[in-house]
Amino acid sequence: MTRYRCVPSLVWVQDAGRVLLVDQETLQAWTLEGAEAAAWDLLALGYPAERVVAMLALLLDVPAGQAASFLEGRLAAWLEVGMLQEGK
Amino acid sequence: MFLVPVADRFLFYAPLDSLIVLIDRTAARQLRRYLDCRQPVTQGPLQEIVQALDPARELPLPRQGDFVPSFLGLLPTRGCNLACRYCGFAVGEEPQQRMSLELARDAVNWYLDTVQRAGGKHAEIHFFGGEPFYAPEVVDFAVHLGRTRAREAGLTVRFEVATNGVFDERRCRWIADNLDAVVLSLDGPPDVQALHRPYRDGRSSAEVVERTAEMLSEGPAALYLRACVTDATVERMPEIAAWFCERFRPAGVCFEPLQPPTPPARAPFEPPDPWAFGRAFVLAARILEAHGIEAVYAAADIHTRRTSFCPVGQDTAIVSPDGTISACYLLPRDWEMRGLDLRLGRIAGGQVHLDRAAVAAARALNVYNKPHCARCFCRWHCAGGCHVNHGPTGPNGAYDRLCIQTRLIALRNLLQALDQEPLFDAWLQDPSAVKRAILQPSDRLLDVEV
Repeated sequence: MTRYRCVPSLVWVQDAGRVLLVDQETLQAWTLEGAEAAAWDLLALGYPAERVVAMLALLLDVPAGQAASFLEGRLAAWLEVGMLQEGK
Repeated sequence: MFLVPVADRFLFYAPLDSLIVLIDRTAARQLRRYLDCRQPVTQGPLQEIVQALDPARELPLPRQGDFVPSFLGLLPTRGCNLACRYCGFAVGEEPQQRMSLELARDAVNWYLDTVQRAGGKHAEIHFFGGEPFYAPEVVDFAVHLGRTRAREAGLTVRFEVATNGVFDERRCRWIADNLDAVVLSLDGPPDVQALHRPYRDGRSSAEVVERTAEMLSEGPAALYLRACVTDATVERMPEIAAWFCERFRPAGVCFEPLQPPTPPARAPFEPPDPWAFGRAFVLAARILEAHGIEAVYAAADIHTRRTSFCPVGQDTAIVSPDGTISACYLLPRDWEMRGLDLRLGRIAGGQVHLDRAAVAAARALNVYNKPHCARCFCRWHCAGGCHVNHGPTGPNGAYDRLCIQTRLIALRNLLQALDQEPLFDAWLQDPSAVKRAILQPSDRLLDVEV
């Protein structure tokens, strides 16, 4: 199983239901909304991936497999843009 | 229209006309004559009073029509990590059920659909307990679902929680960032908190709750401190208020007198003396107000006109972990002791079943059906108070604890609105005058001896 961690220079804040993220080194910024914001928030709160998938399935009203695909897709995207890095 | 004697004058109060006037005995007699037999008022200032009285004023009405909850209350669990020595919820004695995420989903979806169908623009979701963050997954899920679904429905949504503040810093930051209002139970400085609100193992919760209050003071969520007042702490209310002002930045402070336990039990604390509570509240309120902090004692809020004091009668939907929808967040055991059944329906298997007769019965629990309130000047503010914890059944003037403290504080609020705080203080120094006003059996203008 791949493990992810935030890049050390990433900070974020919740605002009006969105998550605003800034990489303090590169000054890149991102905004997450809706289910994507929920996924980020639940992971940041420390829920294990399977619980996040269960909650996303209920939130999106989709089967667990589809919620898992959604989460995997988001993690891959966040890794690609530099919000996450692979690590212990 | 009401008349309350204050020292050698009378406070004339027409709450539905928002009219508060301090008059002398002669004017009071003239007003009585006018109202009793329509004898014309010729004196200038009295004419202004009479003209301000609107014969076609609209009375506040109980809820009618379709059931559209004023807010959705979720009880994630009745469990709690504290063992407050006055707590009537008696948690810890038996395993506490936690709300399933499926039930939370069904409750949120039903509520938002109902608001949207009714053409509403705003939704309110409140979390009560036990301690809601003893089942944090329910809160986390419901907030994200509520936010997502509200956006889809074109609604704004506000989240509020009543909490004991016992959680870690990460949770505290999350609350500050994600919720709109936090009602934090904190009874006072460390010795008071240790006395009232220990952990189950007896340790004090003071340190962690103070840290929570400090962090929430810095965040965007509106912080309301809720202090339960017992016979052991009533005289310390001004000191508690000053300590709150010094340490934290709340939007408001709510002092709640301890309610007698139901069923009666041997408890280490008693409810405070209502006279002492009323006097101490006024002193504490002045300290808070000097710091720009709202002092909350809801029953004496003279800016509100209502027919039901609490969620009951206001079409509130409180969903318990077992799926019961009720009008009240207290334990069914407590309602039943008063001969009440406040269940409104049930959510099960994704279906919501509302009992229309039960909704009608809850709506009927309003001040129009509380004859002992009919002649009280606080009628439209207190509306008879909590249906479960406050149930005087005697004749007019058979005031109980809640009535006495409410009348005392409301009278201060009315005089404050007239910039007459010095008069209130002088009046308070005369015990017989205070009792004459507060224990006056009827405040109706035509009933008061002038």
